[in-house]
Amino acid sequence: MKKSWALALIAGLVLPSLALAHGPSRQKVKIEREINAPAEAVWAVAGDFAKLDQWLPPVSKSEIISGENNTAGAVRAVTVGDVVLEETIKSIDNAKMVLKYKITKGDVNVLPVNNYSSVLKVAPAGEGKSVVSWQGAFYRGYPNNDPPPELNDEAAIKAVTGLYNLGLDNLKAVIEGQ
Amino acid sequence: MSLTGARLKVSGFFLCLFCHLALADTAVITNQLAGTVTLHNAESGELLKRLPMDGKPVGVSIDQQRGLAYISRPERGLVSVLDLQTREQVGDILLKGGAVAIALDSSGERLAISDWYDSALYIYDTIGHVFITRIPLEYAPAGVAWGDDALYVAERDGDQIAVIDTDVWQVLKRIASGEHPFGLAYHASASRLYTADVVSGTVTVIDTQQHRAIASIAVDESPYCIAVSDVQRRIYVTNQLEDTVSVIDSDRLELVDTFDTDGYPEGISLSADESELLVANWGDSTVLRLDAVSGERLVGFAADEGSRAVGNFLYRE
Repeated sequence: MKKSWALALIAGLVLPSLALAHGPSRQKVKIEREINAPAEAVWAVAGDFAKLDQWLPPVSKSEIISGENNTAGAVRAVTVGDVVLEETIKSIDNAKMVLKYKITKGDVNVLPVNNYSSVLKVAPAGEGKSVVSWQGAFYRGYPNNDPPPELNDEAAIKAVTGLYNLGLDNLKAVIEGQ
Repeated sequence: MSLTGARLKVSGFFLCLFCHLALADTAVITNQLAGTVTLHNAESGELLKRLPMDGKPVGVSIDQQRGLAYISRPERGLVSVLDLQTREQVGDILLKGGAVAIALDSSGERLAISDWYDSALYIYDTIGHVFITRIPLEYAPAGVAWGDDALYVAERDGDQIAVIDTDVWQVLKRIASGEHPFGLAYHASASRLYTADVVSGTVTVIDTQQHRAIASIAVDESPYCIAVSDVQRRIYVTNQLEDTVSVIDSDRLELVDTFDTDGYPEGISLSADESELLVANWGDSTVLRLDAVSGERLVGFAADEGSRAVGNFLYRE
């Protein structure tokens, strides 16, 4: 298994365009959570691009390394274990409470995906309640045919689903605990 | 049989007097993640029929004359054929690998199939139900478009377009495009081919008589599919990661407008009179009808999960 990962990474280094290549099917995961707090309170945490380390458990540190926080083009460095990923804001709408961003420097050992983009939204859901929805669009970690099991479509979907559930559960706990 | 036919013809005539009210185009939508094809009244969005179609269906190509829709199902290695009058599946074309992009020629007699897994272009005779030829390609083929005496295939990972001679079925030439071309559109009246270059975020304009690129137009992020209108004199491109349609003036070859769409727009088709655009949005699983001049949203309707509709997906009754 390690050997095939190494081959995949080496192929990515030797032929840069292959690292951007992908199989034919983009995958989608969308998870929602209701939180017992007003939308503005939830957005203050979930919609703050620099604050990922305050609510997403695998992340030990998140900081803005380029651009201004919460503006289009801002880049955050996200530390998971001893790996640092990078994510960039595509657009952010404070009035509608919608954040669109993507992974610009990923690592399939951390999250087995390629070409990952995400939309995070907060909306009011009645008195003192709100709903967070987190949607990811991505291709599997291995770009070509016959992927190894840990880098196939199922593995990608499982990993993103697990991350979103973990994150939204913790976001809810963090906000409701305040 | 003939008596029934005569009756149908008479009622058809009366219906046509109220054409715009009674008849509407049918939108044939491939819903990749749901594994279905949904047929909708393109004006109201009303769901007319849902057909189970697993295998991550993507591509649509419509034979107007015969009332058929060809649907690519890449992960089943099939192209299925739908009868749009009876709204039933009537056949399958079995492929060696699996295709994403498919396109019928103007006669409806030949289907070009871009087999991504087999790295080859296949030409299928839809009348005789046989493959005419297989053309091996250098890179995984993406979009395909018929021209005049030539067929164009995007060789995505090679950042180039293969020009195929349709008399001898061989690659004549390769032309550099932008990075990772996916969707193609042939503009017959201008003898040009437009490519949606996903990674470079451009539309490359290729002069098909000179066999070279003559312009590159920056659009928004991740352009995928293209529709061309001679009535509007515009080229429309869906930008998947921007949630927009870029509008290019086809005479000046300049970006002139941007329309908002729903999440992850992909397939785009023009209405019969080219006054409206239909856009399938994979992220929100919706289809939008937009005014082709102003970009105003006229109608938005839900399709099934992961609606893509890559190709010409409007069937005119």
